[in-house]
Amino acid sequence: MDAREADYAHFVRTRTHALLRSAYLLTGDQHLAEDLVQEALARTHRSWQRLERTENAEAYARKVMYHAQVSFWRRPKVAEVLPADFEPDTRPGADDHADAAVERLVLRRALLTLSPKQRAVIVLRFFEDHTEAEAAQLMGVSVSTVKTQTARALDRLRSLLPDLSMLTEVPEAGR
Amino acid sequence: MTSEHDRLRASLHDLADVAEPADMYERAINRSRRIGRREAAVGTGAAMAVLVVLASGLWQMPRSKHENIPVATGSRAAGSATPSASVSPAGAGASPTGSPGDLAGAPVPTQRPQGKPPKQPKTAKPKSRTLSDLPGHVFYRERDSDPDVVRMSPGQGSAEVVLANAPSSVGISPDGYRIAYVSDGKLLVNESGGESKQVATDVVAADQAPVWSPEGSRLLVATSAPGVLDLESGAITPLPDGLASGQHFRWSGDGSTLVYATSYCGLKVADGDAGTSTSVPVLGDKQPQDNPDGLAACKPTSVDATGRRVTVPLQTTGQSTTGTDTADAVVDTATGDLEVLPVAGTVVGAVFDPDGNLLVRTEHDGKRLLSLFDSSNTLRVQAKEPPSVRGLDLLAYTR
Repeated sequence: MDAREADYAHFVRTRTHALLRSAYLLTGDQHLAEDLVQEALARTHRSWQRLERTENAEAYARKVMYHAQVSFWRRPKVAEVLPADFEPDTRPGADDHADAAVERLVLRRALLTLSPKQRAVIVLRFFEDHTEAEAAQLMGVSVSTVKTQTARALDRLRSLLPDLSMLTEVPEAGR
Repeated sequence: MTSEHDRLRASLHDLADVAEPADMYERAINRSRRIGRREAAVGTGAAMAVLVVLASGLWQMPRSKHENIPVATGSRAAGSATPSASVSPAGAGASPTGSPGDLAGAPVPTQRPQGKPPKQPKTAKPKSRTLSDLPGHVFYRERDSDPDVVRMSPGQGSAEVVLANAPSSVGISPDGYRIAYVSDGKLLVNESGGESKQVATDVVAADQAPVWSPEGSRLLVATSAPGVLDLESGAITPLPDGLASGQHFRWSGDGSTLVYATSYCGLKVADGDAGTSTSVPVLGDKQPQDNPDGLAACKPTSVDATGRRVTVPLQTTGQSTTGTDTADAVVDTATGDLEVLPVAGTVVGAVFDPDGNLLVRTEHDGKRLLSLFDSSNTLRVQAKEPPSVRGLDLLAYTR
């Protein structure tokens, strides 16, 4: 393995999990997330010679992911959540664990009801903490699109998750 | 508002923790190589196409337009519109494929047709034009929601309804004598028009028609996840975890390979029991530069003997999967390229049998033809389809 390949291997092994975390929020599924990240990493490998620094590589990989999300990921995901997933764990002492699991499932389901573009802006703005301008650049859309999509996405999430408080407090819904 | 945003941030980070780490290095490198190979293949294909266009021009020069024999007998003058219709519905450009003997292993990629005039495919010459020389059974289905399934047996000169008002998608056994289907969650097998026998319960056929293994002793079905039913023991063995999210699985004729669709209308090829799979390039690809025509395949319908080629209803990204059960394109699973079929007219059906023979149904000048290519791509039979099945869709071809 030459030095360039070694650099790429290091990049992949150190940054894959971070990319997978974002991809999971975009797709709601481990396998779909891996597919998305695989594509992004492969594209990055094709362009590796042009990318001088690892930070550039990660930005490039994320750009591939978000462009894909906005341009293609249009079909609704099927079988996101099984009803049984909402059954609370009744073992003694398991309440905290069960509550956290239900919170995650409720949020995941709410995210999957958003449009791909809305989901992308939510992840970019509130998970990766990008500015509107950075989000627009990563998605390849205008800043005003980011603004309107963010507003719509938040409205939708508020309607699905009243006051968003259930995300951090004991969830009444879903029980 | 800010506290709301903070809560959302915290919850997103919590949810993202669900994503498990994975070593993606090998997968990324393999995918990158496939992209590279495809780019090289497209370049080579374009160069070949240019050479072929030049060569065909030279060949045509000394000839006059005296060859005007209909369908599958040879070339017409360049510029004739007829053969250009013999490609997939996506309008991909056709390429000459030469005489039948030249066909094996030399499918010309049909990608990237923009800006180029469609090239003329030579139609192959059949060994026989008699329908009764077509071996095996051809299955059709009506187009309504509870279709009759019809079996035509050219050798016996018969066509009969073998399952009336099928309540679900159906699977035809490799010998052509058994049909598996799902009714109210019950998996039923009907043999030669007799009484249907229940072989499993809690089966859903929406995203997975029952599919027979090549030797006919097992059925791949979907319960809560896709699994393989052993008909003798009644036991269902789930597919490996890595394949659990796949749909519309189809077996290759040698049983070594499964081809299936992803939820985003791409295709994947899985090797045996390993549970690992590789993506077929182009189809369902999200990048416009790699998939300029936005091609997608939501339902593979049949696979050749080895898993090298698969028939699909060709779709575009973002299309729904409904109403598209009849394949009209043949895809090379290694490159994602569409194969040009050396037949005249529009392809309205294409399906492999377990031995790797390809049956192609075409419409040309108002006539429906069936063409049977063997596994080495030689056109064995080409004959007019009986009018009795005209209004039906091609479903399967068996021994």
